[in-house]
Amino acid sequence: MATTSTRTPAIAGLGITEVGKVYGRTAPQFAAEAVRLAAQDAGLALGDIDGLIVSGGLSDAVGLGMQTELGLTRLGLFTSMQGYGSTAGQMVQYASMAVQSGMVDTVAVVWADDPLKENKGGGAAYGEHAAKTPSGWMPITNSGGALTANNMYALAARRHMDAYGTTSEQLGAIAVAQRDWAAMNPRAQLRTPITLDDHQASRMISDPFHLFDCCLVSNGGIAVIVTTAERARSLAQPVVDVLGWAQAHPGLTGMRNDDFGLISGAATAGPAALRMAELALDDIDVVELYDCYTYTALISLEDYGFCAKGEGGAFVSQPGVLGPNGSLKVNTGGGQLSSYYLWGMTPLSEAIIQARGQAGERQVDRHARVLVSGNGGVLDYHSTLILGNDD
Amino acid sequence: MPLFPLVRDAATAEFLDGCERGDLLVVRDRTTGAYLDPKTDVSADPERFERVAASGDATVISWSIGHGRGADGAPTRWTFGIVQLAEGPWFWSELQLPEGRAPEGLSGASAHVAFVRTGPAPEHATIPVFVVD
Repeated sequence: MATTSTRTPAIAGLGITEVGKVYGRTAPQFAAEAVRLAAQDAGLALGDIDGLIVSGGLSDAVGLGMQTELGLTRLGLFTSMQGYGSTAGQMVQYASMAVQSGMVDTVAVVWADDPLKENKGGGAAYGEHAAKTPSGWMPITNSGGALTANNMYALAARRHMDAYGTTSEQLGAIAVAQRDWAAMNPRAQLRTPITLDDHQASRMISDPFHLFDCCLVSNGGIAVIVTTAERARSLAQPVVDVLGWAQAHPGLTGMRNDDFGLISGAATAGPAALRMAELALDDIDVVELYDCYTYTALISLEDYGFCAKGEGGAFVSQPGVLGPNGSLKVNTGGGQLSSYYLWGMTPLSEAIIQARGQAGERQVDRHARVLVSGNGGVLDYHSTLILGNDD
Repeated sequence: MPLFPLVRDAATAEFLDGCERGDLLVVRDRTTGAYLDPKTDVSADPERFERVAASGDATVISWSIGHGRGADGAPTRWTFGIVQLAEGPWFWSELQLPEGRAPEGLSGASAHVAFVRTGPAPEHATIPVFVVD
């Protein structure tokens, strides 16, 4: 990155708990386990951690009690934060800035959630949450039909379809390609390959979204350790440099109007993060996108500039672009559609695994520069990270 | 048909009281004449912002059909969308279709406001829906 500081930030540890339909553990328990796993992965003791940033998903149960749970007594940085789907990327950014400034040396960032309950479907987990509050502006929207994120993103996707002619089959090409990647990911919840016909035949969730356009619902936790690149080099894992970062939050949440569904924060944050990393889009080897829906992956590809605005549908459905044999390595673990849905930690964790060269059967040959996106709200909050490995 | 009952709170009381009367209230900026989203906090500057009744005419911007299950487990479908009010602001709402009109190709259709109660209890609020013309 463009700095003379020797305290350049790097990711030295990654901890992933069992993910998916894992019952009997709470979000704080997942979070604590993830931090322990991340420290172990890095070759650090818990006592080496002097910064902690915590966040949780739907349950929002991962809070400041995490310090006591982990027995951390020398924290120089400690906070809980929430930026919805952009959170994971944001946490790494704040950790990187804290390390870079010398405020602290070793920051654990952790996110966990436990929305799935035994004998209840994933849709119920998110739907029931939306219907809980019977007063305020959001319930007016919810009661009027936009009950869940599925419904809200469907309106965004429809707008893209109307504006640019994007089709359901084109969205389906993303689902098919990502399932092919997931087939090689032992952690993936869904590993059986699907066809475009399977996508089209999957039940309708909120027109135009079929089931296979929508992300999974998962329990679990993931933690990442950020420290200086210098220190990371002496630790246990290949160093993953944090080369660039940016955020974009367009505001007018829930009332975006004119550009709703047509553009995301990636259009602003992508170029800014690349500038910080002193890279061009062509330098990116692997792209790990926040894909809560097939459409979200599509609009992110457009906004980062991998194809022209409005041409995302034709781009992703073009043979030889996506998937393990494609020219553009996107969501190489299967993404949130097929591997696991731990909000922004899904693309971030796969980015670290790929950058390290530890993805096994699905490892991408060229993995020196990885772009990671985070997206929250209904395209309301966005983070971009550029990671690198020069080993 | 609203998906669940809701009640007034301090933020929405004025808007929902308008719905009860049959008025769709939006916010007008006295300094610019612009019409703003109903969610705009008028109390931030009462001299500048005022709630006024919109015409109720609108154009469908985007739409979807939700698929779910009711409390009895039976499959349910509902049509909803975003409309642009004639005054400019957008509003997310249930869409009601005239009998015989298929729920497809709704973007760009004209619509007008109607009001529906969200539940049977006296405290249950009335909210806007948009009826496609």
